[in-house]
Amino acid sequence: MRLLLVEDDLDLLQLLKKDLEHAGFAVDTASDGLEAEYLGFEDIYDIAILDLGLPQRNGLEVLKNWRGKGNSLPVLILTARDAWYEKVDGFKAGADDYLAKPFHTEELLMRIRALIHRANHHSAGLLQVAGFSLDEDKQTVTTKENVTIELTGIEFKLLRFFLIHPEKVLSKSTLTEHVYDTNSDKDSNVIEVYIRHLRRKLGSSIIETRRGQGYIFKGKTE
Amino acid sequence: MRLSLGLFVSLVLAFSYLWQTTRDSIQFLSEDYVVQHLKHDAEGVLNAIQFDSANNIIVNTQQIEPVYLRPFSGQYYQINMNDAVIRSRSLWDQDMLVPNVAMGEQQKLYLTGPKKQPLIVMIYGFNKQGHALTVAVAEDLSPTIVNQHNFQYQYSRIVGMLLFLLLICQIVILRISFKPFKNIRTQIKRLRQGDIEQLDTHVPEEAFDLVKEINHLLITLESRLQRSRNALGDLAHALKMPLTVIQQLSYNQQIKEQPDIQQSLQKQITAMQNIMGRVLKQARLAGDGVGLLKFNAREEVPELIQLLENMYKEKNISIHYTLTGKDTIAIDREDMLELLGNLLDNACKWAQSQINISIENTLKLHIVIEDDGPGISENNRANLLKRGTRVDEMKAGHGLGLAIVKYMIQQQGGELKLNQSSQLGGLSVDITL
Repeated sequence: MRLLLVEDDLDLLQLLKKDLEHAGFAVDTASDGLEAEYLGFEDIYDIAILDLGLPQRNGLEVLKNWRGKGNSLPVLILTARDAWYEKVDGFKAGADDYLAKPFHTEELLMRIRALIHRANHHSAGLLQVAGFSLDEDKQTVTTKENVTIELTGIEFKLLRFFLIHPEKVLSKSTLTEHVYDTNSDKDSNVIEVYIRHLRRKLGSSIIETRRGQGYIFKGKTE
Repeated sequence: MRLSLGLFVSLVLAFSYLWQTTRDSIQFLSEDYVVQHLKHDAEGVLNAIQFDSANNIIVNTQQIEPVYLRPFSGQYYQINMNDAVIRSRSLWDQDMLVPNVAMGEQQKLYLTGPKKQPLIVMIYGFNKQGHALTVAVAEDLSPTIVNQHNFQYQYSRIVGMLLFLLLICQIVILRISFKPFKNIRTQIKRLRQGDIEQLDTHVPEEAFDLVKEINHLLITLESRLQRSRNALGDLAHALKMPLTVIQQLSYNQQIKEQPDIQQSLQKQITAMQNIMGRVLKQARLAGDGVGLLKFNAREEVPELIQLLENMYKEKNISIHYTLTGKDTIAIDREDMLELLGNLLDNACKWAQSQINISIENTLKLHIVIEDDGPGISENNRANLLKRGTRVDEMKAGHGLGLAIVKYMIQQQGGELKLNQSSQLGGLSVDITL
């Protein structure tokens, strides 16, 4: 899952980025409104965390501009402005969720996961698809047979993306885009390696290869 | 109105005085005319008096005006000399009871004469050829009195009509000149209800400065409120940022290894956060009086409900809303959203699946919010209400929302009641403003 983090306080930005990366997100950051608005249109993000008090362009305006141009990127507003009228105005501008600062990282992570699930028509809580249930906290997956399997960072990111989008053909570049952030060394061949790892851990049939198109998550086919 | 009563009384007094003096002067003048005439006649009578050789008094009727010779003509004379009384023929056989007056003296009398005629009698003391005489000349006043009455009647009618017309004019003038003030009064009422934001300046000159001043005060008040709100918003923002960073730092790996330090650090952060939130929110409230933007209950509440249903999507709560009365509530929008937001948020936290909110916006504002949650026992409800709204009286971490609500209601001079919901079984919050 690739996440756009918009925050003008650089200390907080660094701390949050670290926490979010630790939780398995590929994080790109923006610290002003103009940059945020531009990045939001890139169509590579699964969610945006948006501060409201931004230099150059106010967060609410950024959000309105995204929505005005049909950008349906899930947006969680994270702001110190916590009056109810500000929340109402935030939602009116098109926000999907609203969290007031100061906040607990666990709460933020929970909200982010819930929002991603909701945006992709999954229920809240554990991500359960085709007999697999993914624990996004512990970054483990449990099979139908109740076997819990540990996952490495990239494996977790990949599997989560597959589980969020089951039965869909996902190209190598799409997978790369949603697993790595801008500053990572992107070699799409590495994806093949991690898919092989996943197949080895969960069963070779769970991910099919469509030659020239990409991969498709099939779940357990018995 | 005191002004119109004063004008009415003074007008009536002035007219009464005018009426009285005119009536008296006319009476005096017409009588004086008669008196002059009588004096002249008395001298005529004196001229006609002769004495015979036996010093008996004789009146030469040839020299007397004929009207004195016709019986009961209305003009009479009587001459008293010692015991002798000589009457004009017109008096026939009736005496006039007149006193003797000394020479050179005169006296005026009102008597009832023959045929009940009201008489004015002038009595003069003369001395003719060594004889002291009293000559009384009288005239029937009834024609004069009839004239006087006619005049008085006409005069009173005219005066009465004039007074009536003037009173009508006065009422009309007062109404017209006070109409703008009445307008201003209704406008001020509408201002309080939030229908308008400024007073209409199309008023007469006398009221213009007043209206302008009020409008100016309104603008000053608004901008001051806006300024202090902005300043507080910025302050809150500025304080929360470092606090957020500190809080995030408390999750740092090195600090996690010192659970004691982490715990107390987080406890202090939470305490600070609570106090700051509460104080800033209280300070931001517009309170009673003119707010910036009035609250439109028809448009804004459904938006708030949608927001809450979204926030509590996982609980699948349905919020049912009814509004009766006017759409616009004369309370600042931000205050009202804070009030309803906190109450609905509380309800959402405790509700199973159903919340009812009803707003009755008629003469009073009546808000009821009910949920189907576990509710609060009667004892605890009383405790919740009793707890003060000052920061140091509140326990951290509990019921910040309700504290703000209580503070707001206190500011607006309203009433807050907590009950068990008869419809849904949970808590029912009942507010009258």
